[in-house]
Formats: sequence, C-alpha cells, structure tokens
Amino acid sequence: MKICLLGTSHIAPVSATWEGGLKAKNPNHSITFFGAPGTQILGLKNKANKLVPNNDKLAENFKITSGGHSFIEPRLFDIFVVMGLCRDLHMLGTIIGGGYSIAVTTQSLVDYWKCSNLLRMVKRVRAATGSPIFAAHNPLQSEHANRAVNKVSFGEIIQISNAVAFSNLGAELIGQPSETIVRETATATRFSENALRLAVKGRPAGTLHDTRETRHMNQAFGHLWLSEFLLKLDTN
Amino acid sequence: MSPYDRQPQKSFWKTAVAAKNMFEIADLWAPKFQISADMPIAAYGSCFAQHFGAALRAREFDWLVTETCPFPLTAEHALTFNYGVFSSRTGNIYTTSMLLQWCKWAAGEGHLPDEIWQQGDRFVDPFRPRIEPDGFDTEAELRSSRLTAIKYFRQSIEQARVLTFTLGLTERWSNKVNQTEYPICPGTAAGQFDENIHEFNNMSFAQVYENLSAASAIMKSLSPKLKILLTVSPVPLTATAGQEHVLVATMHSKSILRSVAGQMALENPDVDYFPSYEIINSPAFRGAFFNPNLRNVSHSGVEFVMESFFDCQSASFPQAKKRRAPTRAKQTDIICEEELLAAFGPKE
Repeated sequence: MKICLLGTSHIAPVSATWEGGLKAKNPNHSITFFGAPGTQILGLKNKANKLVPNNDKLAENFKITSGGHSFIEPRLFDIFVVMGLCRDLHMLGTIIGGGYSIAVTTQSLVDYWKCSNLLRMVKRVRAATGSPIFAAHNPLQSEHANRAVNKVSFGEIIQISNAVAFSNLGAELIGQPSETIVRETATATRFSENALRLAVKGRPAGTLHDTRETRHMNQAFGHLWLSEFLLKLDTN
Repeated sequence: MSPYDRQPQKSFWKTAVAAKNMFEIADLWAPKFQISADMPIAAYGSCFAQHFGAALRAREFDWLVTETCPFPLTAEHALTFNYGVFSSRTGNIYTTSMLLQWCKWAAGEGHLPDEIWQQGDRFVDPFRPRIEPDGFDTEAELRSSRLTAIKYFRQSIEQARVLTFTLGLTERWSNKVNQTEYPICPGTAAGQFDENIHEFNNMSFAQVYENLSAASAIMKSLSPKLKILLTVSPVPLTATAGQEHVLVATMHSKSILRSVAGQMALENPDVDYFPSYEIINSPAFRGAFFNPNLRNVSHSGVEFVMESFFDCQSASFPQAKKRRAPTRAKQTDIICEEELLAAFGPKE
C-alpha cells in the first residue's frame, strides 16, 4: 500500500518509528509524510486534483518531511491519513455520558465535527481523491495534565464520531491505541516523556520537546500507533 | 391646597403623556430594588419572558442559565433544543399555577407525575411538549430529562438574586385524575384530548393570586434573599377555550394578571412589578409596538420595553455602574407553544 500521511507536528513520532525500523519490517507498505507545524497544513488547497500548498513556508516544510515533494499528487497513493488538527477529543465524553438526550448528543457531535479542522481537511482530501481516508486525532493530553474523568469509553466517542461525521465521507476516524489511554481521557504519561518535535527548516529530526510537554508524544507512542494502523490495513 | 398639588409631573396625564412624543414617555417604573450587571438573574414565564433573557444577555448582565447545553452545540441548535430560552429547560410557564407546580416539584413537595405522551415511536413530555422538537427516543430518556430540568430549575432559584416571572395566561388545562397542569391543551401541540380526563379552567383573581403567593413562598424558602420581578405579557391570547370573544377574553385575563402582579408587589417588599404590559398596550403608544397581526410584539417594541427597564433602573440607582450598550444580537424567534392554537381556528 502506498500511504500518504499528512498532518501537523503529531506525525513526528510516527515518522520516526517508520524510519527507525517499521519501514524495514513492512516492505509491502510505503509511507510518504507531509507535515507542517500548527495549522499550517490548512494552507493546502485542491488544484486540479492535486493538493498544493498556497504558501512557500508550507511547501518548504512538505519538502523537508516528505523527502523532496512540495505538493501531493493523490493518484500516486492508495491510502490517505490526515493526522492532527483536533485537540481535546476526550471532551466529547462529557457529552455522550452527560445525561443529554440522544438527539442533543448527536447534534452536538455533528456541530463539533462541523467546526473541526480535521474534518475540514478530510473533506479537502476527499475532493481530490476517491481512495480510502483515515483521520487520526491529536493524542489525548497526558494524564498528569488532564484530570478529566469520562463516563463513556474512548472507543464509543470514536464510534459515534464516525457515525455522525466521517462515514458519510467514506472516511474513518481512528482512535489512538487503547494501551496508551488511561481513564478514557488521557494518554499515559510515559508516552509524553521525550516527546518528538517535527523536523522543519532549522530544526533537525530527533529534536525533543521540553520535559513539561503534555500534548506531543514520543517514538514509543508512534510505534504503537503505526503498528496498530498497519495491522489494521493488513487485516482488512 | 389639595393632595394633588404635591404630586410630581408624572402623576398627570396631560404633562406625562398627552404633551409628549410617545418615545419620550419615561419614568414609568420606580424600581424597589437594584438589578445590577453582576447579579445572577433567572427568567421564566410566558413567551414574552424570553425577551428578558435576550436583553440581559445583550447588555452583558448575569443572565443565569443553570441548564446549559453541551459545549459544541451551535447557538441555533441550542435554541432548537430550548437551551438558554429560560434559565432551565422548563419551556414556557404561562400560568401562576404552572409556576407553583414547578416550584413544588423543585422543592420535593407533592408527587411528580409519570405521564408521558406517545406519538408514533417518539415520546413527548406533557409538561414541556416542545422541549425536544421531535420528542424523546425512549420513556427513560424523557423521565431523565424531566428530572434534570427540575434539578436545574431548583438550582436557578437557589443561585439567582433576582427571578423575573412573566404572567401570561389565566386559562389552563389540567388532568382531573392526577391534578397536574399542562402548558397547553392536550391534543394541540401533542397528546390526545380526552374530555373524561382533561378539564379547562379560567382562573379567578383569587386563584391566580393564591398560586403566585404559594410559588413565591416556596421560592423564598429555597432562596431567602431572592427578589422577584413580575411582568405581565402584553401578548393577547392566540385562542380562548371560554365563551367570550377572544379580545374580551384577553382583556379579562390580562386584567386579572395585572391586578395580581400589582397586589403581590404592593404586599411584598421583595416583589416588584415592571410595567412592560402597559408600555406595549397603553393607548398612549397607539399599538405601535405590535406586528401587523396585532398580537406579536415587534422587535422595536421589545427594545423600547427593555430600554425603559434599564433607564428606570439607572434613574433610581444612579450610583450603579453604567450599563453596556446592547450588542447587536441576532434577533431570534420566540418559542411559543400557545401559538399552535391558531391552527385550530377557521381556515382563511
């Protein structure tokens, strides 16, 4: 499978684990990463069925993360993954288990996703390709910074989100691996230690976040995430 | 020398009304207590009460909403599901008896009925028939939502410093068997009308007064420092179930409500009456604040009422912080089950 994985800084641990060993173990797959920090990736526009940056900075970051490509040619890929652009997804658990009616809950989730940049980017990719698209949320904030307690499982949040927002686009939202999650709302703290920063101009691959980082994850997280994703592709 | 010599200018029709442009008629209310921007204010009542919350919100007053919607729900959808219309999701409370019913439920007095109306495969709350536009999925969901609304209704009374209640109707529909009251006649917005079960009653002054006094006593027991501000909806009846012409029935009903509100304010230092009814309905204003159907109050009418409200507050409490100018909030539709009765009238 030729995989196009585009996203925000959260692609860094996935990219690192791919280059650091999973690539060699999965010769039947190839992955090209297109990354940019923050919300820069929203500058990606659909031009004649190509996904093209509308600014030089984004194009430059694409070249660094993809190994030389400044834009995305969808016909060269079998599968697309859009990663990031979606913080604090666990908050939806306060709605699903919050005692609201089913109609209110459903409408709230529809409204949440309607406003999200992740869904916006999935729609943009969908306009350029008919291939399968997977959406991957930002990792849940690590447990020492996130004390929330949810009444429903994180899996339920993913399931309902797919039903109300992604499936009708022929896309699928995938949750982070269950072994990385504690209390259904947070990422175990061990995964945010030595969190990796995205390589961009002037910042080489392998640069770490500072020790207080709670939203970005390390290579161990990337390894679990990518292993689970590749297994899902192989199984299907 | 007569007692009238000592009366201020506002006491004389000629100087206070006839000689003035209607937009200059002022000083219509001498508030008993200050309502400042930092006081949590709860609002309930008939359709017209909904304007109060919107006006308070637009001026950045502390409009208290205890039953809040989930965070991602858009403002439009929150309104669809009746969040933020009143301080909790009670729907319209048109009568003082219905207010008393909610107060009793909130205080744990009397029994909470288990009545549910089924429409196809959906379930409708007889006490809030339009609270969910398509009804509830299950009976359990409805019961849970009803209990939630009661819990937040109680919280709003406990947390509010001021509660505004707009009296709307004297006509009411009740269940003879379980003695509960509905906000609207069964068989109109939802449910099935059964003359063996459902009965009509047009409340007298004494009934309206007793119900409001009892409701007020419960609210004060839940929140001893609570101040209550009464208004009377100037909106005429959509339809009457009595024998009189709807115009006569309206005047009869509104006269009782106005009298009760005045009497309550006269007798209780913590109860005040704001004359929104007079501002809209007095001949001095020539019906200018009604829409062409002579029933719904126009946006400019609502604005004039609310400006009068805040002007009178500022005049009586000049030391209060200057209020903010209203933000240009999108004009939202008022949610009014009673208007559904129009559908039962003769077709044009």
